[in-house]
Amino acid sequence: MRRYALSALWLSFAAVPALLAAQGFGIYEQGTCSMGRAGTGVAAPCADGSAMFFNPAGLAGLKGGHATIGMTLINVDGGFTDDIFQRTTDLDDPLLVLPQVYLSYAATPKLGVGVGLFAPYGLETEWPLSFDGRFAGYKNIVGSVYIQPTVAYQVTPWLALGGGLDIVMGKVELNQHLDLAEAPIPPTLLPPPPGSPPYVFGQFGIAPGTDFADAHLEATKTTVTAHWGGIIKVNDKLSIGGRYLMHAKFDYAGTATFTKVPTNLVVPADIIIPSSPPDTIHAGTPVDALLQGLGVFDTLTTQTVSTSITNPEQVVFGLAYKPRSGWTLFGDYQFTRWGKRFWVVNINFQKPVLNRVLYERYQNTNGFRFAAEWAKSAKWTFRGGYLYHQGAAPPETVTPLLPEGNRNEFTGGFTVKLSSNLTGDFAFQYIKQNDRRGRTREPIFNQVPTTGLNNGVYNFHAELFGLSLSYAF
Amino acid sequence: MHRRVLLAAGLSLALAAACHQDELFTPLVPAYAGGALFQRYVSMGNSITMGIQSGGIDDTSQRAAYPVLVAAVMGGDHFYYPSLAEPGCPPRYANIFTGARVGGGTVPTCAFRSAGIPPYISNVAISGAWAIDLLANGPAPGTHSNPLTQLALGGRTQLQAMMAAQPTFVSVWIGNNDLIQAAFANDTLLITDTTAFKTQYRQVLDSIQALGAKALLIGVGTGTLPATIPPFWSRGSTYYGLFVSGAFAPAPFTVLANCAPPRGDSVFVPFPYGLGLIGTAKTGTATTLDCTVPQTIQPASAAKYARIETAYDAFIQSEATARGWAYVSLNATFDSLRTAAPAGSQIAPFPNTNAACSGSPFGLAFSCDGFHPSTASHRLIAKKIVQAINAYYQSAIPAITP
Repeated sequence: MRRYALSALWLSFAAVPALLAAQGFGIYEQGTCSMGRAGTGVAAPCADGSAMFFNPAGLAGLKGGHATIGMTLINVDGGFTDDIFQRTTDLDDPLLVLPQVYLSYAATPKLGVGVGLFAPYGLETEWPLSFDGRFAGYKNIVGSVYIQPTVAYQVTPWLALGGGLDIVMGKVELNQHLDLAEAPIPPTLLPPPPGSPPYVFGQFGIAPGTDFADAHLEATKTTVTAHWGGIIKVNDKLSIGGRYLMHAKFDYAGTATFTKVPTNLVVPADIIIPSSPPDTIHAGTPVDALLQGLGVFDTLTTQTVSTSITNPEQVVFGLAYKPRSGWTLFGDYQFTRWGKRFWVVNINFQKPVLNRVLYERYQNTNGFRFAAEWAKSAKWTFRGGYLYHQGAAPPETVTPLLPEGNRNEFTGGFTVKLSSNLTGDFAFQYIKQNDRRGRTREPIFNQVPTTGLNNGVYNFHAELFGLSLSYAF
Repeated sequence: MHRRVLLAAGLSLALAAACHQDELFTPLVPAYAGGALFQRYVSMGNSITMGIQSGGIDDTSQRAAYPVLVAAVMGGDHFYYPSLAEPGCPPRYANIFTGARVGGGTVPTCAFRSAGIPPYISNVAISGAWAIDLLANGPAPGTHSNPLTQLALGGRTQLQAMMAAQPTFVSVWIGNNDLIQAAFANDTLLITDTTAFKTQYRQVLDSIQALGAKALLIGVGTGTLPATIPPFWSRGSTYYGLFVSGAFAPAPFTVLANCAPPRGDSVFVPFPYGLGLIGTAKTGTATTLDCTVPQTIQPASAAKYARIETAYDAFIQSEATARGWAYVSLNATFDSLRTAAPAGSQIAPFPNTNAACSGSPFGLAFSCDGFHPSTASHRLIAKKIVQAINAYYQSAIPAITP
């Protein structure tokens, strides 16, 4: 039961909506208040406990305790339009709910403590099985839930420091179909010329897009990292903040399972295979039986699989400025070090012939966030913002796993004090990702991809609705 | 031995069933934007459309096939043919009279497809296809699948492969084998009944129509039978004339008087049989060509082939008219080649057995199997097709020049 509950919790946090992930597979929607601010606030986090993500130092100086529970409803629309047939395939992602929980407490006027659960990295993309990208991955999940016990201290009236130890539970899941046209013909049957790659079944006439097996890879790993932050209060109007979320490396180990998918094809005529000695495939032979006989499925058995994925460092700097009473302006800059952390992903199987190399070649990203907040009264506070950030994927790595790109996002929201202890927050966010050329297939034989493989355009936009309640005690 | 080679040649040709070809894929003229009608062209058919030449097929002959030439000037999407790696499947003849094939291959030699699998196939034609083979594959009864059916289409039918390509324009040239395979086998009972042919053909057209594509339907013949027949067959009267002139001497080869004109003008002798007799005679064993034996096409059979060809073409043309599609018959084109000067240069009345394939032993219009059009003829076919399309659809596909 406990295990089930933990799994449900993990899914709630880590199964992030398809393509919500931004700047690679980073996610920034970690609180309703902050969402309305376009994610700004490293210099002045919201008082709902989400400071544990936006700046651990923000817990210092809070009064009393805060418990926040909320959710974000996410509706994504996106798809892929291929160049050749001009067919558009839409994402299969349903309306999703992303919960949020923060608990903080001011142990002393200077010392704040808390525990936060957040998922700053993760993605889930789900495509219909009719999509050509099913051979790269039709349901892909990369998730990591950070549990962060946090301590913050008001060192001086103008300086607050904070830090947290992150226990990170990671999970990766990849589901894909295997295309017989790209599968190698066993060299024992048909040896390729010296120095040449193996023949593939496409050279035996099998049409591209012929499914013959389903692969499910799943692996988990828990690791530890840390999160640091500081806020300098320059004066009553201006604050400067910064935070540093360290990278988290996951050496995943898990299981790969394979299921046959019938091709229902039949060899129409006797075929003499130019092997030595020549072999004959007789007319009427089901291709599925032929594959079985050739031992194609011998390697596609349940087996161990391992890979390493690293969540990159995040460095954020920002400022908060109060130009006049009730008004606060925010500006944040974020740097995410993808280039160092997400370059090549090696997927190693127990049977090495299946080993895969994914050349991701992500680039470091920059994000810029701006927001304004107006405390109209003790009861109402309104906010709105805009953010722009780059995509991490280079032009040759825009794939069904994460077809991301540069984005412009607009946010708005408000806080309403419902009672002396209870506060409600609402936020809306619209995400518009620039249409971007990409591909549906991984190169065969672990070759390095190029933009020459790009075969269509990915489009994406999403609407997010955030709602949360905070209780002060 | 020589006779065995010739028989093997004839057998392989018969298996390749009415169908084969060589040349370049580079656009002959600057491509033009053909518009929505010609956005994606798919060709259906048999060995002629697939690109068989000289009893074999490889990338070179595939590139020279008329659909590739037409697509190059149409200006639509990339035209993909199922490229076969060298030396081919089977390799083309280098010298049909010795049995030598390109690259030293043999009849069973069948190289697989070239690396680099295209997203769809534009030329879905398969050597040996009858009308039924557009709809069904072996081992279903009545079908005529062969290794190329697997290597080109991977177990799909031509119809399935055509639909998978989502064409906007389709050409259909089918029916040659429904007719001529009977001639190869000297059995007119093998001719596809016109009712069955119509049913099968209509089913193909219905599918094209369901896609919303336009089409060009091509009459079955490469010449009006029996006046123009591929040089795979020589007239009995030709043998007789050569015999009387002493051309076969001193070999003890005799041609009976039943091969003399006028009857001999309507008797057709397949070259593997005729040259086999001559080859045997050259070894010192006397042989005789009798123009009444079943190995030859008799006048009554020839007349039947002509009637069926006419009936097929009339039906095809009526379907084209009813569906608002273009139709073209290439018979007149090949008829004119038969009479082109110098006489016999395009369609040789009797094969030049001293010539290797490079010497066009069957004339310039046919490749080195006496049945499948040569590269030059494919170019001519492509020109005629472009003219027919432009005339009917009022389009402006550039002419293929020269």
